Amino acid sequence: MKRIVKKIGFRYAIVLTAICSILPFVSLILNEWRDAMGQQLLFLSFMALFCAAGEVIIIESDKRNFSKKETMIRFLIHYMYINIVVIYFGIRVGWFSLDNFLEIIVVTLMIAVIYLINILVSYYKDKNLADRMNRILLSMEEEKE
Amino acid sequence: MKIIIEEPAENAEDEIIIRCKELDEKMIRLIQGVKTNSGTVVAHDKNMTYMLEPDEVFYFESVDNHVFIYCRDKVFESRQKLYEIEEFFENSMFFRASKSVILNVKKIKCLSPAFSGRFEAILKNGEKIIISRQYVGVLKEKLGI
Repeated sequence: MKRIVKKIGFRYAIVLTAICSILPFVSLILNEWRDAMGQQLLFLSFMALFCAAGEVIIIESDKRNFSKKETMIRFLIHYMYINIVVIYFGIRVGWFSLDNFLEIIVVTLMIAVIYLINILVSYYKDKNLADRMNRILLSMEEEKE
Repeated sequence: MKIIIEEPAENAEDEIIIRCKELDEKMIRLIQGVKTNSGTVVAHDKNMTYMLEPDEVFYFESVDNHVFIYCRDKVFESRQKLYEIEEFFENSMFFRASKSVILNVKKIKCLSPAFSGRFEAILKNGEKIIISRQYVGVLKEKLGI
């Protein structure tokens, strides 16, 4: 439970940071830069909280591990969930409407970019760790010989 | 049950001889107890009981409440629970790789990052085992990182 809360908190911070970073660009694209920012940021924090709560979809339970296929499916569901949350809050705040298909596409693409960056950073980090561990395994093997 | 302790002849190896009418569950547990303390793994295949050296074992896997012992090209069954095996090999090169697998670090050929913070271990017999994100820390510890 502690681990899940920690993960949600961490993800909340990341999503909030990412959205706040992208916010000026979104506002510029949608030409709503001068609207009530305070209210929008409040909505934003709620949106980030909902996004972070979506972690429960992809966090492995204490009882079993997900298979590779299940992990991929869960990530896809998570991606769709994030899209729904962002689009819902976006419509509520008035950033865009369902009538404008282009706006929805832009938001979906932005979420995809954030996802991609997140995956690439994690992969790069894991690749470095794997290389480090492989070097140790190799030296263990050499010592044995 | 009668217990006889005899002094071995000079230069003779210490040995335990079990003389019994049949190798029942109670007797197998006794052998397991003795063998566990000497670091050997008691393995079963059909009606045969084998004593394996830990270095022969690639990994232990729990499937439907049965624990299997995977060697290079042979699979045995263990009467021990996975957590008991984990406890016994706590200070060795075996580590919990996922909820259902205990892996021998010495049998890992190389590691590569898998999706979502997990790692894939390619074993020396060509098998692939997934190391869950939550157990990567244990592997790092075993490798001294």
